[in-house]
Amino acid sequence: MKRLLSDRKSIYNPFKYIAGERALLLGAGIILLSALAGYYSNTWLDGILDMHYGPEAPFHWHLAMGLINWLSLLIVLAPLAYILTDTKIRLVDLAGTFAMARLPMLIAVLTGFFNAPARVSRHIIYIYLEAGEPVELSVMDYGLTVLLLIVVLIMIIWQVALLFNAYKLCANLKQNRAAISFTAGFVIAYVVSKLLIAWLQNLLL
Amino acid sequence: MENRMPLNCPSCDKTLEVSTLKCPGCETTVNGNFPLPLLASLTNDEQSFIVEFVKSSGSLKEMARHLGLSYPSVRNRLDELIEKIKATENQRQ
Repeated sequence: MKRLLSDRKSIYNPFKYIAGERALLLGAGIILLSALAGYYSNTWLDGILDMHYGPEAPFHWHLAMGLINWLSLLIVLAPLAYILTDTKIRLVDLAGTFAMARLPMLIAVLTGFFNAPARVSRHIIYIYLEAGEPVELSVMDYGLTVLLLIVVLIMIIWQVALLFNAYKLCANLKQNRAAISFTAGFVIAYVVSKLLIAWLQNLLL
Repeated sequence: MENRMPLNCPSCDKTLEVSTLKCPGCETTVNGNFPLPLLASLTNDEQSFIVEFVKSSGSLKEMARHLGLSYPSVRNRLDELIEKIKATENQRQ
């Protein structure tokens, strides 16, 4: 743990020091906490790259979204890793590091506790879709919304960097092979997550 | 500071060979052309890694715990070492 904290590169590749069962345990905690934060802030992680300020939903729905996002990555990228690697790899490393790589989205969900973005959303809906009620916005609302959007954007980019490094390390793939297969797999995993969430939303909500 | 044995010729970069061996007790010297043993042609870090591997009875899990690294990090390092040893062997044949 000391080496993890003292190595600056750990910010985008902590998996040099943590993988396997420990990462899976930490990742499970991250997914659970993200679901809890999403439940209390009405923030939906409805896709691997998505975060929306949505309506109220039960806790199990937020947890289901978190698990679908993680599983979508695993069911697409793990077979790719097994096909492309030349060495013995472990599923628990991929599962654990992918779960841990969701940490930035936990931070992103915390932005949902600020009212400003939701108020700006309601204002935009009222102006452009003529739905809902008018909302009085201050300069602070706009400023905070822009700031939080930047934070969310950085968290999404950080998550992708973590996922790429997790995939590259756990599958022991070199630069080009890793980059091309990850990009293709990630796009497919994103689509899978969106489709599964949309399908499950009709069933559960 | 411990002197590091040079592995490659500083002029043409070819792998060096041992030409003189000396007994530290009686100072007898033996001259000849002796190729470096395979393990001696690895860097200090790589040699330490192999020593750790043997000391851990070949358990990468135990090695990872001992080195404070994750299992895939250790396994990838081992894979790199295997590649290097294979390449060195091919070069010598």
